[in-house]
Amino acid sequence: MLEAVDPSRIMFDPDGLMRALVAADVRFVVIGGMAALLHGDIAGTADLDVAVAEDPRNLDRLVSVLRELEARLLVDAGQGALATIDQPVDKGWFERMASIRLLTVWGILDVVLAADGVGRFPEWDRSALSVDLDGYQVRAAALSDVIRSKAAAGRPKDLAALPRLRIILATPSA
Amino acid sequence: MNTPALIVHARRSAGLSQRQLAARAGVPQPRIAEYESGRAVPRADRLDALLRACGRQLVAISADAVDGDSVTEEDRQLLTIHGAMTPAQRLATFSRRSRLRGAARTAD
Repeated sequence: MLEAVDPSRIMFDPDGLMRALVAADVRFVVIGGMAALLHGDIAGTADLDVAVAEDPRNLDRLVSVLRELEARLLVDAGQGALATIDQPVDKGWFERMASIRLLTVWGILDVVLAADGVGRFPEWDRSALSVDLDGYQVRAAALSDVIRSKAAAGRPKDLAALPRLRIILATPSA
Repeated sequence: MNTPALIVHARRSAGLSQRQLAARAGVPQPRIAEYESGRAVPRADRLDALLRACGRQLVAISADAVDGDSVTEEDRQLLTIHGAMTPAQRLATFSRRSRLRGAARTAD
């Protein structure tokens, strides 16, 4: 059953989402806008994109924590409207789809199985960096992979980010 | 940034010595010293291997696509400020802004 969601009312706490995934021992790499932000980008993002390891045990852990987070499938209902589908999270989704958009208690989580320009979890993980956050660590995609993915996705918001990300890439770290 | 500076920057950013990078990338340490001094120039596949060992990657981008002119001066200043922060500080700043936006919506 579809339930309409007002996008402007969706709260987003990426820290809560990442903490929950880490606490559940899910193997994932932060990709997309949040990875760009961790590297120093200034654009906001409305969701957390993660590439997840697809081995059965990891998917079991993912499904378990998503149920705790009351995750529901989030779909485009047309004309900018969103809706959730009231169905329990199913491991089979992650075996059949390239990406899955979910609404959780901490906001929108995009679980990406196959990403434009980069590919699946092993390709992301190969160059990912361990990043210290407040009391926990996550793997964040290499900035060069974020750039590659955004260039391949080619959406206006992705292309708009590229000049900033290239400046960050070319700037020596402190 | 030229190739020697790129390798030195990537290695130091990853906190690696030349010897550690050599072990990770499977490239002899004296060869890395030659690359870093500019006495030798690595092929693209070897440069990619060295950068990957530092958590980076060689990406080919056409020169006309590396135009940063579309970034405003204000954004450049913000990028500099963000660049001086740790990832945890960047996340905390973002989360704080998100909460403020959420509070403003609730107050609508």
